[in-house]
Amino acid sequence: MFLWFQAHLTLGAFLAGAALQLYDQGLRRRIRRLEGSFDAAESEQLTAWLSQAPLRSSLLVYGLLLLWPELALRLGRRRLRASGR
Amino acid sequence: MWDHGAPALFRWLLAAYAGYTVTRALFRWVATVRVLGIRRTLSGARRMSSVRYKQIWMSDQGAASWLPIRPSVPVLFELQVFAYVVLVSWLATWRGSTALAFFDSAILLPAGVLALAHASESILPPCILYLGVSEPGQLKPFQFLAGSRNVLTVSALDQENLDVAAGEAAATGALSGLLVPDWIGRIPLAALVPRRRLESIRVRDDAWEGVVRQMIEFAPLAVIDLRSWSAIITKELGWYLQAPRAGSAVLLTREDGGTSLDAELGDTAKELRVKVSELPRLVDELQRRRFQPPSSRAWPAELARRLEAETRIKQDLLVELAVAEGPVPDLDAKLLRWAFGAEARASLDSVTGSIAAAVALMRRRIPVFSYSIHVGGDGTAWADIGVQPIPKSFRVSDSGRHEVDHPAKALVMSLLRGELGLARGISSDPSRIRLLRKESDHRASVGDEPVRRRLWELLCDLRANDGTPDAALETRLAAWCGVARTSNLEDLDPAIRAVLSLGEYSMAVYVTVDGLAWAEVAARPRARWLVAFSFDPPRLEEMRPAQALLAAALKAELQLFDGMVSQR
Repeated sequence: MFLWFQAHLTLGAFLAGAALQLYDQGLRRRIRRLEGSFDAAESEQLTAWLSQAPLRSSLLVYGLLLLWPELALRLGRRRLRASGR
Repeated sequence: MWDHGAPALFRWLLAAYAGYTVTRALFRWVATVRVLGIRRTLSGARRMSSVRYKQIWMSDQGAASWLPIRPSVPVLFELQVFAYVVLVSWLATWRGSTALAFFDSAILLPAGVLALAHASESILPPCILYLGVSEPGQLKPFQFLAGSRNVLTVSALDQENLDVAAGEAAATGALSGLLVPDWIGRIPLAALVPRRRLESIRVRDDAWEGVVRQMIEFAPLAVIDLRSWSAIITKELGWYLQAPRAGSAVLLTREDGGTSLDAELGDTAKELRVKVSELPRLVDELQRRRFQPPSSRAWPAELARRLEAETRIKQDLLVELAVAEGPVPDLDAKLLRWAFGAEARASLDSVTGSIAAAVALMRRRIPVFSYSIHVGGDGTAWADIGVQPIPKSFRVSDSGRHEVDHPAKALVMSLLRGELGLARGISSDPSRIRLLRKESDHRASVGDEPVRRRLWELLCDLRANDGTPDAALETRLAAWCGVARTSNLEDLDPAIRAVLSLGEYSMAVYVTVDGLAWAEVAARPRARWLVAFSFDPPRLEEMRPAQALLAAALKAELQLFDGMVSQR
């Protein structure tokens, strides 16, 4: 039961990520609809937001990687304890 | 299994990120295949991967980067992250026996899918190629193209340069304000967090030509930004013209329809020119037709040769100006032919010997510009000119490292160097001068000595002159420094000669786009240069050029210095 619950939560997180991407796609369409006025304030703001997407992703990835030593350390200790060594 | 694996929050973040990336990759591949078709997409992916592997190590990547392989390099970057995770786990668990145990299915599945989608995006072939110059005004339309559609737009613009990306501060909307504070956009994160720039095809300098030529051959649409001067763009346009299988092209012009290559292009390819405000609509229309041009290309065969010839003419003129001594009638004639063509004006007979003539010649090439002239104590000069062909892109080009014997030559050299694409994005910086005091009130330090008193009164009258001819003022100025044509306080030549005759002064005159100026005259009584401005700080007052220079010289003669500078 617990495993089933966890698997669905992971799938839910995956779908939430996909939904966020769909939201970004909507923003792209909105920028295109503002055609002819790409230096208008709204278009500029949306473009700036989208152009920061790779930066946000990078921050997430590098943040996770930075956390990894701490996580690995804790998990290692837990495993060592569990194995009785 | 779950309770021994990685913490739940970590798994969920990873899964969410995988969902975000996989969906984006799907959108991108579908959009690309719709434009290029499957076969061309696959061949493009092969080309793109070769470009990406040329980007593995780039000199502009921060030295502090802890993952040396760039994120846009497919497979190798993902392997690098995997290696990092394994290494850290191994180190953190001392003996390493449990290092690989973290990679249970709950982590492996989303991580594998994420890595696959991430790597696949790195080899996505481009549909739009943006050929431009690295400056803020050109980055904007490129970012619009790159950000508003799923097909990939690539460019070699230097986006990681903070001078260029000045407009790329973090968004200021409510949501983005919450997620990415403004200051993150301003700190050079690239050094620590190399950001993946799929839209960048920047490679090492020696590989650049090959990559751009390859992209010109492949991309179905090339947007060629001709708004700013650039030797690079001229070259790239030449490569485009020489490429037998190049796709459609759009020539981006300024809002008034002008380009930096007007003289070379003439009436060529008028139908391909598009104002920057019309670009989004046009690209949308072209994308609906899979970037097939409405008609076949109408480039005259000799255009590539014409571009090369024009560059050579400018280079030759530049060299001749640098070595010429005194006014050279032959060179004057060549310059006039170059700038005015058949309608060369006989009245401008000494471009190499008169600042006014040089400025008139420059106006022919660029209607609006500011300039500054710097003259040393020995009479040698250098100059720079500032233009703003695109809003937000202020470009400065100077006359080069070596001084010449006349400021007019220096001015024309700045123009030529600018047109050859040697302009930069920074300007002369008056702030290098340290003010001696915050507020200047010189009246008190003039004293009662009659000679000083008279000079002070002359200075006050000179500054107060609003352009109306004043015979008495002219006579007094002539008696002081020998300027013969004082009624024309815009003519710099006699004023510069007069100041040089006064003593060992060096000087600089800064003339704005509306023809008004301020000046500084520096003397070196001791180890440091003391500077007198034409105005009294902090209120910057602009006058006619010669008027400003003479005012600054009068202040220097009265030893009313405003600032100090250690080097000139």
